[in-house]
Amino acid sequence: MWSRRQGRLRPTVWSAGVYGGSEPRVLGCALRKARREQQLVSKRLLRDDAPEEAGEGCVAAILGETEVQQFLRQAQQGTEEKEREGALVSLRRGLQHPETQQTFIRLEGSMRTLVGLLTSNQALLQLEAARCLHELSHSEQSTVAEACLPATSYLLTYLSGHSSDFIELCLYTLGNLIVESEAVRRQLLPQGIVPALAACIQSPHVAVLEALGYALSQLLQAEEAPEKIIPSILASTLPQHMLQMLQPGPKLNPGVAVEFAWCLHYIICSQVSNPLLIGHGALSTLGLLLLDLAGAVQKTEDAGLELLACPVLRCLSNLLTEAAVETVGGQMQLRDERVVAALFILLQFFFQKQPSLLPEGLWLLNNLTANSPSFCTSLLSLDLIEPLLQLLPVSNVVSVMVLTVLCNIAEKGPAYCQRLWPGPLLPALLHTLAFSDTEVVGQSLELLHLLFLYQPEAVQVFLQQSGLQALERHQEEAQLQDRVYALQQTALQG
Amino acid sequence: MQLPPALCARLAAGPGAAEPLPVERDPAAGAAPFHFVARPVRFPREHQFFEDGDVQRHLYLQDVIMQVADVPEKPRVPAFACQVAGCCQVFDALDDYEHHYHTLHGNVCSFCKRAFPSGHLLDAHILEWHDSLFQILSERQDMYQCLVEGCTEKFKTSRDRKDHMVRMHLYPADFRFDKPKKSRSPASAEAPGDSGERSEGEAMEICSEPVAASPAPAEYPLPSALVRVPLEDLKATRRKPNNADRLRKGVGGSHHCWAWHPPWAFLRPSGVAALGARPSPSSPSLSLSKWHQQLSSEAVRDPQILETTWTHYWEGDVDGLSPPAGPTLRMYF
Repeated sequence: MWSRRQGRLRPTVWSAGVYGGSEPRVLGCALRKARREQQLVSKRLLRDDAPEEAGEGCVAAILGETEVQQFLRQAQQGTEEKEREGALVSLRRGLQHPETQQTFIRLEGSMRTLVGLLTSNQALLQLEAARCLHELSHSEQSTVAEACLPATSYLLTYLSGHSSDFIELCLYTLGNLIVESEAVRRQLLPQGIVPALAACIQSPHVAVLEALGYALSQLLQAEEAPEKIIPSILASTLPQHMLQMLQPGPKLNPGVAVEFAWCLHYIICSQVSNPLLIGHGALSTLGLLLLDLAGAVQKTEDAGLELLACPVLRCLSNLLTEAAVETVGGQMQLRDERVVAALFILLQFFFQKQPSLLPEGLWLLNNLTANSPSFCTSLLSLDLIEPLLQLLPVSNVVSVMVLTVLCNIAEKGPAYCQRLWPGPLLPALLHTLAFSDTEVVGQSLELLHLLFLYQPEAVQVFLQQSGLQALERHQEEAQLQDRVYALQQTALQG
Repeated sequence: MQLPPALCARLAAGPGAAEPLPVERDPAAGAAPFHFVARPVRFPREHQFFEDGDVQRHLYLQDVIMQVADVPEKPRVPAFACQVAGCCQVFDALDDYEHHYHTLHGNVCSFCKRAFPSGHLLDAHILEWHDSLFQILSERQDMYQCLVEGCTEKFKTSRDRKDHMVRMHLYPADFRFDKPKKSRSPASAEAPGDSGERSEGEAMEICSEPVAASPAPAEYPLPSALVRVPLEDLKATRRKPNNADRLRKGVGGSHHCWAWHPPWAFLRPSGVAALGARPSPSSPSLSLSKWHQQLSSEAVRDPQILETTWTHYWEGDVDGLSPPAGPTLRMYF
């Protein structure tokens, strides 16, 4: 299943690039800035570059007003079907240019004509008209997206049809329009986009499902989504279908699963009604998917699986914070120890291929271990402390998270601390005490405190290994000095 | 990062939870100046923590543009004609044929041969156009169902329904898939033909004068060779749009206009036995459907009926769902 990469989930060209040379790093910075400013707009463009007529230039020219009018007229009134189709193809090529898009939307009656062609009885004209709309949907100008408003009711109507290529096109077009303009979303919701998607999600076509997931993910990312969109999504049958698409097994399609995993993430992190999702079995489905991912990561070479792992980790982590997770007796619904094994396999994969995702994996580990003696015991019994410590040098953020997980274990008492010492923990702590980052050092001090409390024998070894000197380095630091002093006293008295 | 060799074996083995070691906390653990408390952490939507993963997601989506360049050209086959009786379209690519078939032969009314984009719209058409019991009942109760999937509102007339769709669902006033049934009178100047007598290749319902605020027809007219008018009272002549009209309009001037016909025009003199209405399993709320299933049907119908169980929603009508409380962000890291 994982090796059959259909659809668009393929090894991404950038994964080596972004963290490699300097140019991609500049791109990465720009994107992070865009994300911080909430300007990160992702759109999909299905551009059919199949060479059609011979003699056409490789690069489509910008069309002027006369040419746009001419092509529209030919498409609408031509006598030969091929001629009409050809006119729309030429128009579509021109619409790849923002200038042509602007010319088009400023031309009176142009959208009306295009909508007329979109709803014509000539199937291939209809398809070409839809492709023209799709080009327009890719515009970065919200005025262009808004110019497409007259077409939306038809795009939605066609989602209930049966031509899978056409439905796919309509979905990507809708997804692009949704992300560009709030006016479009304000119209699509009363026009019934949610029931249309709920009906369409029952399609057996993988390409349609992937497109639907994309469109839905764009809808869910809208700023007004928590108040205006997510409640109706949750009230529909969409969540159950989404979870079905995420169930591991022979029917799981990675491209489709990626889209719906992101959809789920946007729903869950909006915290509208997560208990409902837990009631639908989200935790166990996602847990099983995590196991599956870990298995796949071991077998397949760079299948882009981190694209699916990321949202799954986020969903699980956020869901684990819900009170509904606890059943009677305070037992977590997610109790399978294999989840911890799977998570570490993924952490290793991230360590090698995608270090920026380590914090997300460690976030899940924190949420698993924080209130669970069982998972803490698993980490000990599966010998995962040493691998965890190997992550300390990666970055300050990762260090803090690793130390936090270790604190989760240590705070459960002497039975746990006995298993943490002797071992590589103390040398690792002495090493992190040498860091300059205050948060890393602060977390190290917390861990030391717990270790000294529950495992007093560790104090002697600490002193022997120049622990006091390590502490002294930080005794002037405002945020640390009280704890440094307290530990010094413990060590000297012990 | 080295993992213990037994880990993979553990993953492959069956489910299970570790028997937890005994928990025994000392109150001094949380005593000042130390403040560690084990707790799960929640990150809300826009949190900076998600930055890296979000950027990667964005690049993945953008990357599709590069990948699409690899999409192979549509495979061409020797030209073949559509096999549906009366359809003479020729194709040289299977994808094109698939789209043509689904569009024009997918959801076809067996009475008037009109094709619809979805089973839902076909159902509504058959009920409203070919079911005399519907017409009788519609005089006493609201029968015209809103065409937006999931909306359960019903109306006395198709005009009321159209007003509802325009007002509540923001549908265009000239929505093409909501054509009211035409009158019997042959000389209706504003009525574009709806018996399907038009030549292949014409766009829908183009006529010279716009009729404001009238709904559009639903069908894709089929080649005249195929069309027959099976029922006496639907034999109203249609004004066939001509090229002269279109040319007069120019590009920006094509108008799609539809006639409004009073409900009495739809009453049939003949009995219900001649009806042969097809069952409409996707409209269980209509009291007619079960009764009509008993009647014989020659309906050509795409078997894939998309059922929806969605409840109606539009802006301003969200019941009982308050906005979420502010996220409890516990910034631990």
